[in-house]
Amino acid sequence: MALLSKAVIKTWLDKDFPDRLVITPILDPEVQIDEGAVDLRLGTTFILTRKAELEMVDATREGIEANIQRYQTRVAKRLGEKFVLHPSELVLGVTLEYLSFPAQLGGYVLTRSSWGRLGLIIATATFVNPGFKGCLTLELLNLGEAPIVLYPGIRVAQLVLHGVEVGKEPGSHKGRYQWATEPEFSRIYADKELRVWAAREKAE
Amino acid sequence: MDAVHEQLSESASADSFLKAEKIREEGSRLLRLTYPSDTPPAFGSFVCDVCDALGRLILDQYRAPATPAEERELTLVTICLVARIAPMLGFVEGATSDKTPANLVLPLERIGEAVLPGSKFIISRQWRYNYTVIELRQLLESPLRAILSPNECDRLLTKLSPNLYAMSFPAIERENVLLHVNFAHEVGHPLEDQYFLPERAASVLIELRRRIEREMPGAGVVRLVSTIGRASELTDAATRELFSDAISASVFGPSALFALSEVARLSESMDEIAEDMHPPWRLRLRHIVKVLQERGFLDQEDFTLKAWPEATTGLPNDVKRKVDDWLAEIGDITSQTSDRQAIAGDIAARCAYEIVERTLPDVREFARANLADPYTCEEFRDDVPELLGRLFHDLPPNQIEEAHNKVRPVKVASILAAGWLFRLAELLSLADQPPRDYTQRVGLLNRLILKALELKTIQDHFGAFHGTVEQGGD
Repeated sequence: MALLSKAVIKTWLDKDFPDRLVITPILDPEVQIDEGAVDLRLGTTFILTRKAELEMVDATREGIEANIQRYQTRVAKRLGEKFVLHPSELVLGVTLEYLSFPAQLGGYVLTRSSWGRLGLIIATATFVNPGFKGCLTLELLNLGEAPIVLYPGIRVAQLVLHGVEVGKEPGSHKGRYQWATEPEFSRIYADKELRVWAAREKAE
Repeated sequence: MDAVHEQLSESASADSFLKAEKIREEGSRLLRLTYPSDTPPAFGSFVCDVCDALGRLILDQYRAPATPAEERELTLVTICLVARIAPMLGFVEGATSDKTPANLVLPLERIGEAVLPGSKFIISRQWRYNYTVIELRQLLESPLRAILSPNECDRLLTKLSPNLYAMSFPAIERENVLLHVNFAHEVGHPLEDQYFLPERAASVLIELRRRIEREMPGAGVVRLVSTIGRASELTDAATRELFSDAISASVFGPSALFALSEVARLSESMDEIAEDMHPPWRLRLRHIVKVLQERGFLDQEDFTLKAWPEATTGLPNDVKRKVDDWLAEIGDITSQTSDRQAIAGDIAARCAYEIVERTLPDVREFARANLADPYTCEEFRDDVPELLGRLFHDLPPNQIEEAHNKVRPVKVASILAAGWLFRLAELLSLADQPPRDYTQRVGLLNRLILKALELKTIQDHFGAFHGTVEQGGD
């Protein structure tokens, strides 16, 4: 399916529910909505890694849920407060905007190229499912040589939208990160099949 | 000075200095944490400055051995440090972003500043299950003036807001954002003194005396004085609480009734006067219902929601009926007069509450007339159904969107009211489902409301800079 143009994005934003695409708030529609994409802003909450607490990440280990929360910590920044992302540092951020996708649309979150040229990557898991509702967790990574200063509210990402071929009964997305309003800790441990693949090592 | 006392006092200077240092160190540590507002760290910085000043005072006055007068002074300094200064850090520590409903703090501060112009607020958690307010400057100024030189004291106090309040909420309710509507009641307390002018208090006392003398013919002077004193305290305490309830209802409309009823549910009795002399819950709810009826939110006759459009789009048909059903239950509670019967047997309470109930229309009018920006039934009717519709679509109720480029900001009161109506209309019926399901739904609602409050704050901030987004009225 084709990417949506600026004019088509606007028509989706103005449809009635349940077909409406919601991106709230769009603080500056003229600037944020561009041909083929909508700029998204950085939210106020971050998840940092406490490296000293971290032995390793093994999603199949007992107590991984508690461990993930133990070695990650939330930090809230106020408007105007800076957040410094150091080279090679991975931090989870979140979009300021809350999104609601109708069943007929999907999307990809990409780094705005101006930030990318400074070494900033904002998402590695970039696909947004049809039917998703919530704020998107951003995987912020500084691939550059110098620390990058970020502020809540700046436009760091762009959301590229495309149509989805829907059958007679559109599916409803029930992802594990649905309805998030802050960055979410990884819930990789919810993959029950992981235990199947790790069974041999456990037995040994 | 006996030998033991001398031994104990031997290191008084060092001990006092050490305490000042430890409090300052802890204050400095707290300053490195994150806060949703500038006010708590500014106050933490003030506490550190006070400790520095007291530390300098101890060093300047150090003599070995100290005279008895110097010993007394050091004792005063130490008492000030441990009894007054150190507990202040509790307000700072409880105000960090991870201990508060951070997105609610700035909106609440703004509401507080609108009710009490020129005031600052530290919103902090406490483990007591209560909402409280404390004026911090009054608490600190007199002990500091007793110790420090006038110049030093003035220098320090210029850094402290003249009207600084610590508002505390029950820690276990941090995420129960809708319950924090009760803050408006606490904001009302500092306003009380504008209502309780000395001449008003004097006339109440004269009337109480007349009534009680008539009720207790032949009683001795001691008994009469004691009864009048208690009746006076009851009148004062009840009127102050009911005054603040009127402020809360004026700031937040029906949400004040919903939030107060949630606290009232936890009490053992709806009819008894509380140990802290707060009036019976039934009377408080009846009083708030009356405020809401007078302001056009509720129907005068049948308690139903009056501030509601004739037709709504995008909402389940039975939303209003479910809210009205809940209001009918409140109507049943407030129509009963068992609180008056519970009071009738106690002469002091009866006389006090006859005066309290008679003055309530005046209290309500004063609250209405003295609030700069009360929440109106028109704002409720225009905004809340639309915001409620967003919640039914699992969206934060931060604004009303006519089109992607045509949005209307709303008041914080409307956001919270939409949350309450959703809870009454949609979640109340789930309460008999497995607790985990109910908890998840309530958790989602709280998150959406907090997100809406965050977005509103950001929209106001950006709109002011950009000039494209209309300001939200709060």
